Amino acid sequence: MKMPWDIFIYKERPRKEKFELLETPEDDSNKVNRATEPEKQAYIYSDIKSNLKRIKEDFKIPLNSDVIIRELKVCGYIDAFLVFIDGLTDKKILNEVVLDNLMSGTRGMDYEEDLIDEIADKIINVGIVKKHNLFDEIESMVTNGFCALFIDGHNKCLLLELAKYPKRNIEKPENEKTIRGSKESFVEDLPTNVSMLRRLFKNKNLIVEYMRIGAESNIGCAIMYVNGIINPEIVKEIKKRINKVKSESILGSGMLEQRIEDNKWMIFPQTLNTERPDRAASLLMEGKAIIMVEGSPCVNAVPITFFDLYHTSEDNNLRWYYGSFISLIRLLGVLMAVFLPGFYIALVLYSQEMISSELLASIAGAREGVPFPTIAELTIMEVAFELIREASSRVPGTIGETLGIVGALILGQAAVQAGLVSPILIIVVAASGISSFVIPDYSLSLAIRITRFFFILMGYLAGFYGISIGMFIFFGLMCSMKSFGVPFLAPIAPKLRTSSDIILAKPIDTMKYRPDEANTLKKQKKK
Amino acid sequence: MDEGKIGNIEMICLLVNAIACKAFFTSIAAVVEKVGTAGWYMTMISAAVSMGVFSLMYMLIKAHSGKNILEIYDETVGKKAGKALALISCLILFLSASITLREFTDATNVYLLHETPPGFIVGMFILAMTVVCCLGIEGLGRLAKLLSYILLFNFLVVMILSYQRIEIYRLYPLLGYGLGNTIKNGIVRSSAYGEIILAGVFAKALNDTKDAGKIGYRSLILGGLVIAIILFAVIASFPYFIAIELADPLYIMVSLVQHGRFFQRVEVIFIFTWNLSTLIGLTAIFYGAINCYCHAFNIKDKKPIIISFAISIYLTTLIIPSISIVLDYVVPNLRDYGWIGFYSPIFIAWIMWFFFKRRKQTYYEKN
Amino acid sequence: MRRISIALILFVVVLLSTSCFDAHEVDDYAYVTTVGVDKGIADKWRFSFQITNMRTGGPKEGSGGKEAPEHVTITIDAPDFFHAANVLDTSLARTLNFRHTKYIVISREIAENGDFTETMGPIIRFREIRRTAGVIVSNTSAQSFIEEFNPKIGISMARLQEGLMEQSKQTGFFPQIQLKEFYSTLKSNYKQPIAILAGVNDFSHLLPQKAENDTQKKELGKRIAGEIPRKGGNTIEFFGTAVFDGDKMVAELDGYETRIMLMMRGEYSQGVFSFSDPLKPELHISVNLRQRRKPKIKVQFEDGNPVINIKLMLHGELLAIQSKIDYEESNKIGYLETVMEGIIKKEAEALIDKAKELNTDFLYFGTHVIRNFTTIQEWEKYNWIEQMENVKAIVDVDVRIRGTGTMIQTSPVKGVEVEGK
Repeated sequence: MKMPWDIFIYKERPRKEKFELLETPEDDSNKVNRATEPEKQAYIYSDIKSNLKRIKEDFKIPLNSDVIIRELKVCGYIDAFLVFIDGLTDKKILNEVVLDNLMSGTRGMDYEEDLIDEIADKIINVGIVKKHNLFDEIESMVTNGFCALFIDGHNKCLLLELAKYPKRNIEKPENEKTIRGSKESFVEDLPTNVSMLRRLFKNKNLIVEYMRIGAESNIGCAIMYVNGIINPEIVKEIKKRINKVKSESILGSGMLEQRIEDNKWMIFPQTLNTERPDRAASLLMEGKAIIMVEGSPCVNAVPITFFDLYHTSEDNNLRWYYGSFISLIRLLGVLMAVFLPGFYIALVLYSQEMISSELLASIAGAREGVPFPTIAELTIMEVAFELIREASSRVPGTIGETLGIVGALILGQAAVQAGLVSPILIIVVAASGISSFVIPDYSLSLAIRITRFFFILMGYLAGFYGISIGMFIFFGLMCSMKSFGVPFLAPIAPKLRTSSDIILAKPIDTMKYRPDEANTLKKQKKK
Repeated sequence: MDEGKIGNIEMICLLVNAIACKAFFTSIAAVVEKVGTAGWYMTMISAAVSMGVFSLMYMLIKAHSGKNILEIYDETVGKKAGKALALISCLILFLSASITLREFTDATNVYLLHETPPGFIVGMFILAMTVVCCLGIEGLGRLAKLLSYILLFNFLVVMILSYQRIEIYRLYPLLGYGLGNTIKNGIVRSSAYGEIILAGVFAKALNDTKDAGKIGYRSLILGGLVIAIILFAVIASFPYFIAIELADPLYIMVSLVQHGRFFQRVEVIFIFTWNLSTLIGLTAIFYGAINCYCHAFNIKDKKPIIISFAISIYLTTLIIPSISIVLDYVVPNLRDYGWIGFYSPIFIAWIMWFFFKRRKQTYYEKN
Repeated sequence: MRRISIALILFVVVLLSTSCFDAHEVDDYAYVTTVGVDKGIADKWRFSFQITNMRTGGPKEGSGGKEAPEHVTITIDAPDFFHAANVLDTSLARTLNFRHTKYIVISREIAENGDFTETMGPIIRFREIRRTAGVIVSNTSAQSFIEEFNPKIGISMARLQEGLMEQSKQTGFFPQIQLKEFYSTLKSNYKQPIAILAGVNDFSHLLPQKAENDTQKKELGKRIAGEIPRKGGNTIEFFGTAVFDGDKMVAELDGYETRIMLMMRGEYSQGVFSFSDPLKPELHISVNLRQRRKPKIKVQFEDGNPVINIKLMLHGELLAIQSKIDYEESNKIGYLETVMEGIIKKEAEALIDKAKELNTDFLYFGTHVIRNFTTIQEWEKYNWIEQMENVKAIVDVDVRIRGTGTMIQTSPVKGVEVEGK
């Protein structure tokens, strides 16, 4: 009962529960658990009750409400149960076909030794069926959308493929825009991707190998290659490297790429990412292998050279004049993006005699009143440009694209008006920034942006001499890179027999040979 | 020494750069001083003499296929003497690299970076050289090929742009200081092409060691052409009494290019050509010296040797106190007597092979 | 791994803070655009430097028009060029930098004393001065020349300097001499140097309308720099040539003689050639002459003396016929050509006589004589420089008039008092 003087009496306040994450003892591997627990049997039991108990333990049913166990009777009197995951199976086929066949289709049949085989051969009309007797395999299949049928008295389990799950439709590619090429892009679902590529490359020699990567999460991946064109050593090497990946979470093709590449200290990417099936198909024809990872719409292609990263598919899709012209403009863009700020610093700080007098007058005039030294100005503007670029890729919708470049230029103009930077510098930074947009591959454009800072540093250290030394070291490292055994700068650096286009595109009927550096088996493309 | 393989064109690019890089510096003034206006064909005489010596080396390589010249030394004159010959080659290549580096540093100090202490310039150069040497001959060869086309194009553009200043009358009198003088100097100064022995040292990196002959001849012709064009352009642009005064005639020639009001001060193109060509050439010579040393002492792993050689070349380059000593004593001696170091191992090995071992070889083959 | 990255970062930091010895900002320097030498009073020489304040093109001053660039001329008495530059640095906020020097001005006094190699010779060793700087001999003192060397019309200093040199190609009234050529001909044994003659025009030669006749009337082209009767525009002008023997100035050539000299050297580009009408001597005809090809010069030796045959080839187009005589007809054109050939031949022979008198070869004949020698020793023994007076020269001129402008015929002017043809 509340008394009026209760206000003055001290009462303990009930403590609010705060959630604290206490340290657990370091427990790195699951192997420790398995070592202390009693050995579980790997093979399935003949007895259905033990199977049921085991399945319930492994999947932690009733805790895991997604895994459904449907008990039924086959042939009218034999116990059986189905295990499947709710969101991954096609309910319609399960209800109308499988249960119907199992319950009514087997009515009147007798117990036989190979009932499982009978059911698979004669009763169930599901396209893909498998038989297994290892618990680990069965469980991993169930998590992939299969439905497992256990029958009492049999120590084999029948797996039915009923997978249907919601996925994205085929849409336009977001990052690789073309004018004339196809406008489909890969989706996250592995079978869809494989089917898209099959559709473009209808050849019986196209091999698709499925593999599992990762220890716990069981992500599927597919390796596709054309048997008879690709060098078989490459395929062996890819499989070896993927098998070595023991990490638990490979959530996308990017992470897989990082684990299987040759040299993680190189600044250039050693696999090519693409999200367009037509580009992937043309790479297959050249003797490369495509690695697809479930859950990621970008596929990796190995082995590659620098010129694969540099070309777009437009170069061969258009007539050769147009392809050559665009390719030359792209080359100019790449050179400007890498070298222009470094040249500017070297010219203005060290070699003022190489600027003509009038240009020097305008540079000197523009620098009057600017409080920063040139290197500080340049660094600030470069960093600001990169910040705006990153920010604009997060802003949604059309605002993002306009914000990117226009915003940068307006910001630069405002900075000039305020007297913080000189206008020539804005032009230099904007020119090199815009030129870096012409690079078609995202990883390569990031590599170029990083290299630009290296050359700014070398230009600041020793002028043109520093830039020469920087070029020497940089090109030297680039020349000695290999991606899956193929030198990175082929076909310039090792000069090989073939005449594949480097910068200028050639008319399409003169490009008869496959690129030699991949050491493909069949050298000549059929016309 | 398990090395990678490089192709023929890459080797040619390496060798041409190694031979031609020294023409960018003070050697031109020295040539004009000795032979006057006949410099441009004196260098062709030098190239011809070099070709003669190279054909001796080619005979040796053809006879022992699959081996590089150091192993041939071992075979023809015995292990101990072969070691000595390999060390002589190593020493002369090392000295050549060091002295050219010194000239390069002085030229850079005068024209590009005035207040920088030369140790800084040399240090950066050696750092770049070490990094690329650690990548092996494959990386070096590919780098040479990648850059050489652009460098050659730049070089030709620079030469063509200076047509304004070329006057044919400066080439007269044609015979310079006399034909005898020209020929004598031509023969003695053939040490300018001495780096052709690198074709033998790197022979195992080629796909077929017999190609070393083709490569050697072609790079001598190409290198000779480059140097001859440079000398021709310099003698035709500056009268001979001015050309002997210039520290770096090629740079001054480029700085005089002026077509109209806008197109002037284009030395930028030339700076890259000069820097990159010297970088490639000197790295090749340096790597050749390391190969000789490692072969002489049978060392398999090159990386520690590269680092210690780098420090040694830093010391050797900077030890000379002033450029006057370099120009008065060091460089002329190297050019006049360097052929002893470059060619004498070949002569000795060839004599031993020709007169003694060849009979034995054919005898063994017959049996 | 961590140690390597820390070592690398420290290395880069050290490199950044101790290197960049040569990095100078653009506004650390004061750029000298012209250098001049006079005889000094407090010390041996008097050097003048013209410094341009590079403020043109500042975008902040978008409104209010462009400010005229400021030019400052600094003069100092010093024994040596480099000493002068170094001492002057103590009074300026920026270091003097000679990388954009376009002209070197010597006063006539110094040139006639033969002091060039003492004063300006050493600068050829200096890396900052490019060998494309022009060499000028000034009629007035170098200091006053440089002070007047301003663009009065609103163009930038660099434009003025470069543009002035280009006018040699348009007019031919002064040669285009750069330091490289001047220096190499100083030491040459087959040519002798010349320099541009320039002066300051105080506009006093353009007498006002009501004045009496000009007492020192000379033909327009026969004047030298500083004497041209004009008013307005820049006060400096380039006109004529200074001829050197060794490093001593021995003569000056006026406008017309310079042209002929350039023609014989093959450096003449184009210019307006005006001479009196043969049929009406008080009126003039103007022709725009170009050199069709470099002159053909053949050298033979007779009794140890060189005999030089020169053939000049020129072509041009008619610009003005003041007498309205119909010269466009084909036979009249031939007549005109012959007249011109005669005039030019006379002037050329007069010039060669002048060269023989001075015993200097500024016509570059030596470059053709040298082809007859095979070795350098012979040539040096022959010593061409002193042989110029023994030269026998035969000049042959070939002029072709190719065009007549926009008119192909001249009709007479009709009027009451005009005479007929």
